[in-house]
Amino acid sequence: MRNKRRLPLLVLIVLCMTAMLMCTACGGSGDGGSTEDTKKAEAPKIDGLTFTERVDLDYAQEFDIFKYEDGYAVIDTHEDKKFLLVPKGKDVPENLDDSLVVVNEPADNIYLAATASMSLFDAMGAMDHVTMTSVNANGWSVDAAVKALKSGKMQYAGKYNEPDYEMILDNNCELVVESTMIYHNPEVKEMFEELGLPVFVDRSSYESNPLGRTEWIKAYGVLTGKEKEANEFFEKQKKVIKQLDDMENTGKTVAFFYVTTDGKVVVRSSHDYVSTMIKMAGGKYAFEGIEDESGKASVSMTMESFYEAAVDADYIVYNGSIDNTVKSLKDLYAKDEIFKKFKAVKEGHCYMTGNSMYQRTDVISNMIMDFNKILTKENPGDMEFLTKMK
Amino acid sequence: MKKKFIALALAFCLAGTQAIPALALGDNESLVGDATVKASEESVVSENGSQLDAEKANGDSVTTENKTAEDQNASSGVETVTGATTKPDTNTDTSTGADSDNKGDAAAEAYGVYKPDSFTVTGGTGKVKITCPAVKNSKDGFLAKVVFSSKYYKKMAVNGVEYQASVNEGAKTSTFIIPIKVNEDNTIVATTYAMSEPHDIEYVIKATWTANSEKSDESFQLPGEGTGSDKDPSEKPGDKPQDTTQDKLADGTYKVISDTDNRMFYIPLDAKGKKYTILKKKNGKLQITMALTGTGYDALYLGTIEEADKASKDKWIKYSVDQKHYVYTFEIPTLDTELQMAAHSSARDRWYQHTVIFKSAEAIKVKEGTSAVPAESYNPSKPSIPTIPNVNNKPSKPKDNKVEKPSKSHKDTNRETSAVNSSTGLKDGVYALDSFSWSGGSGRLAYIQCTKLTVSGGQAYATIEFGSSSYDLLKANGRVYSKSGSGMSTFTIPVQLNANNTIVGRTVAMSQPHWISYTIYPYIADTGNAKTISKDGKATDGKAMSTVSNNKLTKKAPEIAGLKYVSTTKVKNAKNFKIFNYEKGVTLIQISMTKNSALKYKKKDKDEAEKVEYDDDGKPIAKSAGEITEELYHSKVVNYLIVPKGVEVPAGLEKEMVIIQRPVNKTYTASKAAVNFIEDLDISKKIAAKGKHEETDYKEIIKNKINLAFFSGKMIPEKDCDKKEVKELKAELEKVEKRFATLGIPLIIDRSAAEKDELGKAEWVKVYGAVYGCQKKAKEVYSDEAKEIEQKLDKEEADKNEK
Repeated sequence: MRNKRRLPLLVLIVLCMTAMLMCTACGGSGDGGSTEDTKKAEAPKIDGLTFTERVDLDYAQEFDIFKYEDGYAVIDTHEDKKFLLVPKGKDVPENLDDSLVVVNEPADNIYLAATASMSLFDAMGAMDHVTMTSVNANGWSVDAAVKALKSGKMQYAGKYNEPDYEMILDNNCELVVESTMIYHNPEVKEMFEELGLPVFVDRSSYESNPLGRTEWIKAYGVLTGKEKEANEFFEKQKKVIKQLDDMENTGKTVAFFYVTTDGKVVVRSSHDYVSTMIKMAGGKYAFEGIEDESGKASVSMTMESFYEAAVDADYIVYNGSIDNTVKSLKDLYAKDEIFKKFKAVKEGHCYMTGNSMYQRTDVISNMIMDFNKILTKENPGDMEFLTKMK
Repeated sequence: MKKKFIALALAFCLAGTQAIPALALGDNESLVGDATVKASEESVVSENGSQLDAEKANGDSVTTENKTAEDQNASSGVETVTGATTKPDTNTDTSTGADSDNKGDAAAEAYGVYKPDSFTVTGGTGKVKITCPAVKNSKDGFLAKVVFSSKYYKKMAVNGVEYQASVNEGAKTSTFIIPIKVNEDNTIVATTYAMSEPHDIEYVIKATWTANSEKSDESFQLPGEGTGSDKDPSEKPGDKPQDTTQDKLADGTYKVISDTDNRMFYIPLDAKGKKYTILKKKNGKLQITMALTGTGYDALYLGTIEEADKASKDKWIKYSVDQKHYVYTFEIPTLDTELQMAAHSSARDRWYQHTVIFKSAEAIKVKEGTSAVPAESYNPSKPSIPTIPNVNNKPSKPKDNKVEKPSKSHKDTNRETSAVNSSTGLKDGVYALDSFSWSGGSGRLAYIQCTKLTVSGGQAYATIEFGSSSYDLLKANGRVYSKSGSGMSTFTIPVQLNANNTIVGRTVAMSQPHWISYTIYPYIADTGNAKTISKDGKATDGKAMSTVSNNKLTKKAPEIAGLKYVSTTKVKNAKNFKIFNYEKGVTLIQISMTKNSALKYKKKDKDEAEKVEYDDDGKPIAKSAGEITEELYHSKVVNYLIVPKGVEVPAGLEKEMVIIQRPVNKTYTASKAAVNFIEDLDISKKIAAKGKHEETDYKEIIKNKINLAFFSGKMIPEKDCDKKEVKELKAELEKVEKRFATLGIPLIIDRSAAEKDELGKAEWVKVYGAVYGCQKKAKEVYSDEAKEIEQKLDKEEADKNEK
């Protein structure tokens, strides 16, 4: 009798588990919602090449690397085209399928129009492969980029949607790296392809795990022949985050936001990577459940709604990368006196971020550790990204 | 245990399903469009409010009024007529105890003031305490005295009728006397001014009462009654507002229409809803006495807050008290001009920036010594409707404001824009523009519109609205302006009419703020006959800048904003083009793509160029420069505007015609005819590269820095082509158009071969003459060519006849 009652229960549980597994396996292409990605991508069959292994990825779900004999590799970014890396001195296979774009390894004279990837090139020592970029020196918070632009080793080659095609061609560009913003200007991508230039779209912003973003360094490692360095760097980042493995969630709430010039408050959606970083660091995001109806990363709200949700938050972290006018508690009160009533303010748990966090994809682990520090230490020293507001 | 396990499992699944939308995230650098959350609007109000809340809010005097004449049982001098106008269903009572109005009426025995048995409130967030110390029963029904534990609730609406609060600064409460139905739910909407913007909050209240409820001696008269007469004593009967301007105002004392920026800085309204201050004009000096509604500012200073900070205290305009209001007396330099005024908060000991304006029009002469405080305060008899935020992203309708004031601004130390000469000969008022156009940006902005064009004090101000709410600052006129209000980013800035004005907007839509440059062109064709419109009227009806047609070659020269027409180039035989000449050497060439061909395009709407399209989510669609140009090619007629070197044309023309900016000395030709015409004009050096129209090497185009391309008319399917061929050729043509539009290189199809006769074909040299700025030479070349052709034709004719 007992078993009969148990069985339907077990079935229910198993069904739930499978459903959940299927959902998470649904890494998918995010934008546009392709429905064919319920299975993991498969290694393309290439005439004359023997597939050896699929590279293990710890956190990233938005790309795959397939290795073949003799140093060939395919990078699949879950887009319409895949990139075939042809090692130096080796031949391009014949009868290649149209879906494969050839990139001669190592890719040089890269035009980098995806700001999130620059720090990854720096981390693996491949800055000299990038000679053109879509952002001026004053738009970079990655020191290596500023240095390269000032020294002339890297040039500004036009915004991502208005590139200087002439400069790009003159400089013998071999690879264009774009962010998903290029989807708003498909004619630019088409133009590059018409000119025979491979366009690699960095889709790391679709990774739900912040470390998945950093893991894209492995793809760039393959493209530039710096795989070893890329893997070494990533292992180091993994180690940093391992410190949090046995950590229990502190249950403390953190509100991450900034105040616009017309008095509205902008917070991150609860699915955004900043919110995820807070959770990984052992905290709770104060705006759990908040999301923008159209899936955007930032959500705007009135001061009243913000007050309601955040007045009792244990910590507040001000997004100084967008609004750098708030550097002290006094500045915060100047935005609105109501902050004096916040629990986090009363308890002295106010922090702010400095440089653009969006560009520092390389040190996301360290950013998470900074969040962990403020959650666990009363006066955390030695932080790189967060500063206490006084 | 089992249950816990199931719950866990289910929770896990739900979490898993949540992951799907997470993975479908957009990138951080998101669209310029905005993200507004549908957070509950019913939220808290705290005591302190925003930084600007320096005033201790003092609601307008309450108006509680009773009817007297109708009351048959007018006993015991109970009712006093107070200054304010009445609302039919409110009552006031100076007596405290129950006053039996109807003798011997059983119901009347139950009349009086009681403490409700219970009082419940739902709604809001519970952060403000709302109590009801008493209800009053009278023959007109029940009144409730409702007290909020916050001094910021200035008004509330009950059944559409608005009631003002009586605010007690010391006790920090706001008290209302409102009609109520006892033992039932009543919905009220209270407006709090605690935040920087008034906020409506809905509550449902219920007070229970029976005839046996405890009596109460609460007063149902609120403090701050008027002085008695319901006429303004300073106004003599028969006084009409003087039709005056500053120059015409004689020395004397007047009530003048005034206004402020209305951001926690208000002049009290009189009974008719007008704001007045007292002006004393004597010997060329203008002295103003002004009352404010609040008592938070102990001093004012005529100037900026920086100037006020530096000024010594004896230069401050200190307050004095008049009929419970703070009033200030000071000299002003001029009427009818917005003046900067700093207000000093006594509580915070800091200055806040405001603006004031005192108008000369409709000034009313008054007795000297008339108080600046209105005798009766404003009491709207119309129901006020709670405002609904503009949550969809369509361009908002113009606000029902009076004169649009320039947005708050500060100096731009980076000097990215220079001071604009906004002075105009137009008289003060609100005007209609013939067109408003813009250019610039990176193709992510759907529109910039002008909702209002105001002339004030001889200066022109445009209220411009962006197709996005993400622009929080705008550089213009050498200053940095802040966005006005919420909703689509709107700024009111000084502009120079009929000229290109540079503006730089800061968008915070992406993970880092970006400054983007634009050019706007506000156009009034005939400033001598400019039409004023009502204050609520729209500045433009979205009309295009020009009357060029996408559907046919025009006989007359189209009108183009900002460019005067000069002459028409005579075209005797060619049928596929037209040439019109404008001032500054600007030329318009119209070329028909569909005449005498199998190519078809739909007729285009006259004002399609300026139309804003919306996607399924109601968001305006932005087009890049390349996309706009590409669409211009997809017409029956393509218009090209040839602009000589160094000449600037009004911004926005690129949305209606393909702009060819000279010099175009690096031409690419994929047309033999084009090469020939160019050679005939002796300007072969203008050709930098040649190619075949069937195949284009874009690398060559880019490397040669090509700035103009001529393609063969063979790109266009001829009349006798079959459907398949037409489709293929059209696709190829549009692909080429797209590529060149993406590269920003103008493209002209040579349609000389499609002309029916020799003369028409030869006449196409005039098109090249217009493009390269050598029309005179082209005329000569054609003239010679025409002679030869005619001679040849005559000879042929003669030969034929001979046979």
